[in-house]
Amino acid sequence: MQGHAEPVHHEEMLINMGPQHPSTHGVLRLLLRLRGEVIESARFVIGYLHRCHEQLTEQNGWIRAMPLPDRLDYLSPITSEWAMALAAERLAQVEVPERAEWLRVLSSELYRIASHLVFVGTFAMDVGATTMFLYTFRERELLLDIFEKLSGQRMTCHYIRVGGVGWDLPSGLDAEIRRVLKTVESRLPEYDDVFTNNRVARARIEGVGTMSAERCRAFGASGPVARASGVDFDLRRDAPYGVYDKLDFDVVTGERGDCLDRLTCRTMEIRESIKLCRQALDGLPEGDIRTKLPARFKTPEGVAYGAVEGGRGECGYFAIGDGGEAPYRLKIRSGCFSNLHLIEKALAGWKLADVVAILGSIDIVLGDVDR
Amino acid sequence: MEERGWLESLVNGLVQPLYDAVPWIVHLVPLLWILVLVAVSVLILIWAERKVSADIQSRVGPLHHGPIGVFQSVWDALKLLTKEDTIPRQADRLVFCIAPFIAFVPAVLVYVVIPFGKGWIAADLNVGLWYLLSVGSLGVVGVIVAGWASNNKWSLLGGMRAAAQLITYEIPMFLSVVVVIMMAGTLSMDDIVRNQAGGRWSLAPPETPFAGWYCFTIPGLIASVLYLVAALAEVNRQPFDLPEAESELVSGFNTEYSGMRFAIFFLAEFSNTALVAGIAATIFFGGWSSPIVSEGEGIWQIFGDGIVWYFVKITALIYGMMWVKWTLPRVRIDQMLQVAWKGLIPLALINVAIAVAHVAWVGP
Amino acid sequence: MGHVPRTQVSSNPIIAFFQYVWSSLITAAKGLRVTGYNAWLRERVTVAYPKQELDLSLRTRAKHRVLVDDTGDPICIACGQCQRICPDHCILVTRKKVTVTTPEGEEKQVNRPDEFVIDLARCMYCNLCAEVCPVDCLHLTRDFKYSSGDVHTMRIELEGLLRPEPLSEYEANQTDGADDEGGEE
Repeated sequence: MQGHAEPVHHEEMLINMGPQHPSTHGVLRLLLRLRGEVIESARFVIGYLHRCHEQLTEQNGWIRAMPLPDRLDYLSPITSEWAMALAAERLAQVEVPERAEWLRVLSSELYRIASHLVFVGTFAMDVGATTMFLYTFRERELLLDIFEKLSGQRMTCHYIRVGGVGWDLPSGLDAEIRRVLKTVESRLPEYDDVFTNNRVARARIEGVGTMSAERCRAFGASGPVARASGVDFDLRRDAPYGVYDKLDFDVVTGERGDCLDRLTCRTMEIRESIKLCRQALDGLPEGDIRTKLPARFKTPEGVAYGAVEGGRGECGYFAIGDGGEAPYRLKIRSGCFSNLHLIEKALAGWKLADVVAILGSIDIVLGDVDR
Repeated sequence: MEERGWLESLVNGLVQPLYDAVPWIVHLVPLLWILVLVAVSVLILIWAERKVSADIQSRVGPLHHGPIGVFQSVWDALKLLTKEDTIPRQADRLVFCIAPFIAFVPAVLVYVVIPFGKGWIAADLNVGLWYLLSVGSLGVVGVIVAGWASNNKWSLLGGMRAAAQLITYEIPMFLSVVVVIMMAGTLSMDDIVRNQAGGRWSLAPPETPFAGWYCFTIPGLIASVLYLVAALAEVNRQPFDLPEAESELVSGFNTEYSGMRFAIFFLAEFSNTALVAGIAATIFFGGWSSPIVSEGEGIWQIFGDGIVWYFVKITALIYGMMWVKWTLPRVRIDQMLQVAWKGLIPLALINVAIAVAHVAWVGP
Repeated sequence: MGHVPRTQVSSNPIIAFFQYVWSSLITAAKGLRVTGYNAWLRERVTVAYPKQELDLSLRTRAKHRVLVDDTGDPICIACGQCQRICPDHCILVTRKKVTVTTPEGEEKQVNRPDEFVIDLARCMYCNLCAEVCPVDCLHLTRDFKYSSGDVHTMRIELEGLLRPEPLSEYEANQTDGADDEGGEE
């Protein structure tokens, strides 16, 4: 709290934004030093949602901890699951069947669309366009319905397992996914009309909260936040996992790193993900979906790092195995946690109304930040 | 005949003696009508707001109380009335308690000079428009003191924003109303409506019943657009809902209010919404005059001038305001001031010049 | 990179002013067109839940169900694998020996659950218990209507887990004769 222990001058106001505030996306607490409506400095306080995920995994073991990553980044659970499964598989040298890899790509790209839709909606709502929130959630609902048919749950899927995926594609879902993708694709121009291209919205988001590529690199930011600032880095292309090296897609980058870039990066990524989903459906091979693991799945001694491109940046699981059913130590590297650290510098000098816009454009999930 | 006898005896037995004893009581009748009208229209507006937003957002809105949920807001009002009355411990109690009423009373008082129909005006003041704008702008005091008295930083920010916003947007509002005053040559609301009966140069085809409406003159058209934009800000609606910006200020100046006092703020807000729509309808869109036929014969009589047209017009205007509210994002505080000082006020001043030319060229 | 084009404003302040006014009106009109279209022409998506129910997916994971054999006894062998794998420790199984008569007529001692309790208030519906079951007797069904104001009523005993409806995906596939694609380990 250094910098906030200083006495408050009488023109200044120290204001506590959160943990119970409608637009801090959960339980983030921001300490803002205001002069009028202008932010002098900002500090954030996290930890209100800490649930000991690393420790739980170290105690429960790989198999029993597999449902837990869903609860970290609950808006994009599949990617967290995949990162954890990847760490275990790399540690224990488990082969994953070809079909399972394709299903993993399909499901994680579908959930990436859902996750970015939530971003577009909540960001628009932070800026004041409540209707956009309902529109994007309406489309997200279609995607969640697909996940209900695929895995049985809408958000806490528990779909990706160590050694494969939990369920195969049920009959008829292929056509439905294609139909939903078409619907989502047709609604994207509507979002542009209602929000992105609107003059009022442009005034709120264009040129606001710029972050340079250097600062993003320095803070270890990743995902759409870093790409919007021009950091050309995407794990799907730069450290391919699954079958991404066989798929054709573009990595979207921005130029200025303002809120508009962070918004358009995500809307463009939705388009890229739609492309990837279609390729995954077309190329889906026949075969097994899951490697049979021993009843007591053990990981040997060694270290492994499984990282995937999550909805909000690099989602990595670093595991140290000791020959037991559980990792000796598991460290979760969360994209949101690193990205969140950008805001302290990004907020200074902007107005109170921009706080929610900048914070919204970074798109944090407090479950992932606090873990 | 029997009913008339019954009514006559009631008038002779009760009303006449009462009138003899306190003759000023007759002035309470229109006030009572205004209070009932405001209360009922606010209940309808709250329901309509929810239904319109639901329509726009692919939802269905309230459904269960009454047909298509029309009694939802009645139940909401009852819920608010029965809620615990909380006052923050550090609040300025007296100011905190009277602030909602300071906001609410002007919002009702201004209805006195609104002509709902032919002769349906509580007091046809010869300075009606002047009275309306000056009394109407008192409501901001209630909002500011509510923000101050709550002793909450968010409320204070909301109150300060409200002060800046409401005072700023009164200027373009006044300047666009001035155009109408110049063209009508009167401040009386009733005369303004009557002056729109037609017979002057108009953008609309001549000989139509709506040809004389001020929105069909060039300065009137510009003024009506400017007025409606400023009106959105005056009633704190998107894109200018900064004083109670939910995602930024929690709930703005009424963060600490609950129960009955919150309901009164709500009442004042929606009453103001109906009011600015009513003023726009009266001074730009011909008030109670009919766009189809002014003095109909036979079946056409029901489409003639009358109170119905006033309500049709404000319904359309309020629907437009809700539509805009649920579409546009919110502007930032500095942008909000820019829109007024750099956008609306210069345009309104230019428009006043156009109106001078218009009046000089075409005649009032 | 195919981005949304940025706002272009003229350097002449007078022209820029009218550009702002014009673009405000045009873009607002575009937004109003979309919202108006949604209000009048697109169908509603709300499902009025208690009156109207969604068709849940066969794989929906909600309340557990223990399968029974022809005589109505659970086919669970009380091996305790589900209890061991449950991440939330919400399953409790104790074992008892019972004597059953096989179709061939000979009597046989088998393991049967003495006590079988699932605390649904703690369960996170991960399906791990159903997947490890060696005799495929434990399944998660679509029955989600067991919410309660008292957390103790969420502790479901064996009798509560034998309810026949609705079917889980496993049983639906069995009765349809469709290929057994899901729920297997």
